[in-house]
Amino acid sequence: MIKLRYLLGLLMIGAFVLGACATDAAEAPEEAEEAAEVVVAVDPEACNLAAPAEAVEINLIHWPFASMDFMAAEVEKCQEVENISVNVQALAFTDVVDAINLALSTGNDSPYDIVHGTAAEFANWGPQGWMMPLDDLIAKYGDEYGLDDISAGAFSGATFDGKVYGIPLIGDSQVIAYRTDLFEAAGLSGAPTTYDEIITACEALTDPSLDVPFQIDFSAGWAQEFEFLAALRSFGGDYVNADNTPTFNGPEGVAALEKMVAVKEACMGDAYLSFGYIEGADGVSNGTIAFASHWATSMPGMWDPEVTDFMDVIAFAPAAAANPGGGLSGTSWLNFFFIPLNTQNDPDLIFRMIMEAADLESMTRGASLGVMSRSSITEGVVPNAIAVNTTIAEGVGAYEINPAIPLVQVALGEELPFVFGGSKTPQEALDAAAAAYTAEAIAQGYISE
Amino acid sequence: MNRKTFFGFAAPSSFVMFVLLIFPLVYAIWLGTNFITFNTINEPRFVGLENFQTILRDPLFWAAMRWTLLIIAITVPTHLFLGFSFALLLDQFQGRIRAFYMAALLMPMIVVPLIGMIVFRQLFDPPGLFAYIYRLITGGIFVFTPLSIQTLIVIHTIWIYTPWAIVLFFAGMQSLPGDQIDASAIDGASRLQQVRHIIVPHLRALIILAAAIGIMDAFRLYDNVFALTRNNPIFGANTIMVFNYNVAFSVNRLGLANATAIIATIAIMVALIPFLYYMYREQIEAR
Amino acid sequence: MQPFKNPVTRVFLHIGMLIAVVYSTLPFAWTLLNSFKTKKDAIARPPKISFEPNLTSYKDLMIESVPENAALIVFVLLAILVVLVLLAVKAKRFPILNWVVVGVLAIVFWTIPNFVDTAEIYDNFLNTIIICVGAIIISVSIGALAGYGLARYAGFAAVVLVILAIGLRSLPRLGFLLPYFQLGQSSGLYDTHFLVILALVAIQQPFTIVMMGSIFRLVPPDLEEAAMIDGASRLGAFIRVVVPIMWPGIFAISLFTLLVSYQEFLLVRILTQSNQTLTVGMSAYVGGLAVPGSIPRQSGAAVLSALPLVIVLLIFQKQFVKGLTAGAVKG
Repeated sequence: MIKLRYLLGLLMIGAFVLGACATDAAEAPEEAEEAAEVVVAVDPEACNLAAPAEAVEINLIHWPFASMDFMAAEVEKCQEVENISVNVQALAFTDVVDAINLALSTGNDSPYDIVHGTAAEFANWGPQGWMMPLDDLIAKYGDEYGLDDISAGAFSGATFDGKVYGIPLIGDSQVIAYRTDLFEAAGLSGAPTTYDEIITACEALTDPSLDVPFQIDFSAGWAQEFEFLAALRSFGGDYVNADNTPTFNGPEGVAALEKMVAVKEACMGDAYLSFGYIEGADGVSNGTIAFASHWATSMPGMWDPEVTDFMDVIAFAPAAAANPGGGLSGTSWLNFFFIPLNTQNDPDLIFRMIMEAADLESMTRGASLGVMSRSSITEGVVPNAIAVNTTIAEGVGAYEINPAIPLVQVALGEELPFVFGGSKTPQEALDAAAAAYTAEAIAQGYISE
Repeated sequence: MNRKTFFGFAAPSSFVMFVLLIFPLVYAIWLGTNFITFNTINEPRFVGLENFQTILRDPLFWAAMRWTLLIIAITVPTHLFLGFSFALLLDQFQGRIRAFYMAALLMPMIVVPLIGMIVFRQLFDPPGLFAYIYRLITGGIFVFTPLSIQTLIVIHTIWIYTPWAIVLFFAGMQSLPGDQIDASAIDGASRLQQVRHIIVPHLRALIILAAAIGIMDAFRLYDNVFALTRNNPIFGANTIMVFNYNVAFSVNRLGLANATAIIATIAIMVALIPFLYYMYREQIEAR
Repeated sequence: MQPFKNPVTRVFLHIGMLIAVVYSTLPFAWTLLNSFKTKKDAIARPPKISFEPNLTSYKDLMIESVPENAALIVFVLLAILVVLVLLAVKAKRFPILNWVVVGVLAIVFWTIPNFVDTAEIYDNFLNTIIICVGAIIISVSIGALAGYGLARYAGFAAVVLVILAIGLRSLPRLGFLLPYFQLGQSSGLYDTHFLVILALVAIQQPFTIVMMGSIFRLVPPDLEEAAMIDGASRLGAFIRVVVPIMWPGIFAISLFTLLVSYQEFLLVRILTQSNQTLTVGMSAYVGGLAVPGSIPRQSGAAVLSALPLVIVLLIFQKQFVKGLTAGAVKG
């Protein structure tokens, strides 16, 4: 028993000593660095901000994918600066949006300082005035960080009422990934450029080792209606008129839906419910799907030798057009960082932290993970960068910043699945969605009665 | 104990409950009587019972209610039966073996429902084990259809709630009157008869409790259903909580969502009336 | 029921039990397997059961960057673990050693971030411990007091309490979102551990009180009445006489509180940013929209978020069972 006590005592002392030593060890290099910094040039990869006078805690919230994780990590580097601590919160997409809605709706002090969003979310946030206009800060720091490298179009998804509210970081859109070897073997001449060509390709690709020849995300209400918007606009239609009354149930909408259903029938059959964009990306990576059309940001596995054996035979092309002769059925998505209006911290400091992530140096390093918003980056970009940029340029454009639009999406999400399931005709479903949307929009005041 | 001492003992707890439970409850009811969205959170508009009426007239609400009740009707008896059977089985073992089996059987319960569903779903996704076995047997791909999704939800629900029943019944069996069993064996009773006439009546209180908890928890199914259906209405598998969530966060109608929550709570309490009556009688007898 | 003696029947019983075990644990086994696969193996066709395992997903989740002296650290940790196990075994004879084990563990956890650049998950883990322990201590103490009152007082309040317990357990969390959020913001307690602990305590109180009441009813009143005749106050008698007798039951109810607090997702997510628990922290990888090619990481996250409770379950299994049925079993 005495021996045990000695052992105990030794152990506890040992743990303390180790802890103390490690702390010293951890501190020593920092001191060395600080001393060295005076002599050596500033490290461009680190966060190069002057330390604020008082301790500051910055909260960033985002949903995770490779390039966005990278951007959040770049902002997080600012922890190295004295008096700055950064708290990055990554949650599932729906949780992020809910959390932001809940936090900002009351108009109290915002718990978040940097918020990740796309035009779809900004459609609510902008008109509500929850975000801070950034025009002054952009003017102030634009030269220092070369912000004209980012095209004006990229900013449009965060612009409301003539003011810019967000900094675009990562571009995204629907693109096609396809197996060049399987296409050759089936006698197809190249990537399909219209939905009709997709159907032809599906009929030609009959290799039994494939689960399905082609995947496009029709698996859930929200996925279907994103694709629906792209197809609808390709046929020349749109969600609503200027007065918010619905136009999506017109002939363009019906034509778009019929084309989409035809693609589903020819290419996926009943399996369409099992193949969301994640399963689609994995399917192309492991060789069980010949080609797929979905988000570029979900495709990094296709050029990662750790994920796929087919790296050398997967090529990328812009999204196909649902309407031959119409715009490419891909919407232009940018991921922004916004600053909530009621943030507790100094907006100038927050803006500069965002700039540290958005500067040319960071984006050049991040270019291998996703399509960056700076046009000057042409080296070391992801394999599908050209496809993305083409789709953005020739596609159906961006999401409209209008708070009535989310209601359209919800109404469509409730009805469209039944068209794909075969129990409703396109016109029936679209009319039902229009009626539901109109009722809700009137109740919430977006359509005047 | 006199009343004053009772209040003394109950004071800290009552205080916490009043501030943090009663107040939000009242607030939630008040929210339910207002038209309020995330965008108009600071200007609620009193509409009385209109939200409640809207919900009760919504066919999606009744579809969700029917589906939730169907889940209850299938899963509660099943997991009670399975729980009872496994508890009987467990009773046959002793010591370490029993501890090992018990730990394994309890696993589905201690895992967060969301994790449980992800874990479950991985078996059925295209790269999963069951999808593969399905392809071997039938030659086709395992596809998600309304029926297959609904079946998966039912199986998953049974899977999560069986451990609770096992534990309850097993503990109850430890206090079985041993002499009664021995006496009945001497009288020539078969094991099946013993189960029917001695064990089941002895566990009556527990069976009722397990049923009540199963019913309550089935109403609260959300994360796992959402993870499987991705909120696609075609599966017709939205439970009441999924419906509630959609109302709150898709159209942002907070007032409507709170009204739904209250209606759901009332529905649960109605479903539990037999159980509440039973507990009430127990309390009276204990006095 | 008497055990079956026939060996053939016993074999069948074991088979039946094994089927039950497989039924309960197969999904976990598959996910555990997935967490050790490379990204490519995880989506392989046909699904791989034998493969070369690696720890990449866990490394990605738990460590930001591997330190240079990793081998040394692992060795030291293993040595400490061995010593702790020995102590735990000895603790059966010398209960004070239990506290020593806890103390050493606490010190180890506290100092690990100094050696290893730990990822978010480590903070989540610490937050989970803080929140769960805090919730248990507060909830069990005030719940025990109120439960004892319930057991000894023959009034109408008891019935009201049971109905309240059932009703509040049924109320969806959605109903609490906005009130708690605003309460947190206006009281200035937003984003603190304390607020989350309070919320968890409040939600579980009704059920806890009912359970406590049931177990205290099992203690005959003569014991504390004897103590009170000797001059102790009601409270003193409670603490010195009743609690020690019912300690296993109280301990078991604490485990149940642990279970509920650990699994809580919505409240934690709403009420705090920088102090999230494991359940919420892992949800980014596990729930919602996961990222393609991320099956190993998703599986690793699922395993890591379930692991602490599994370990607790294995250690405290007997008390666990007792706690879940506290008050439901009649004498």
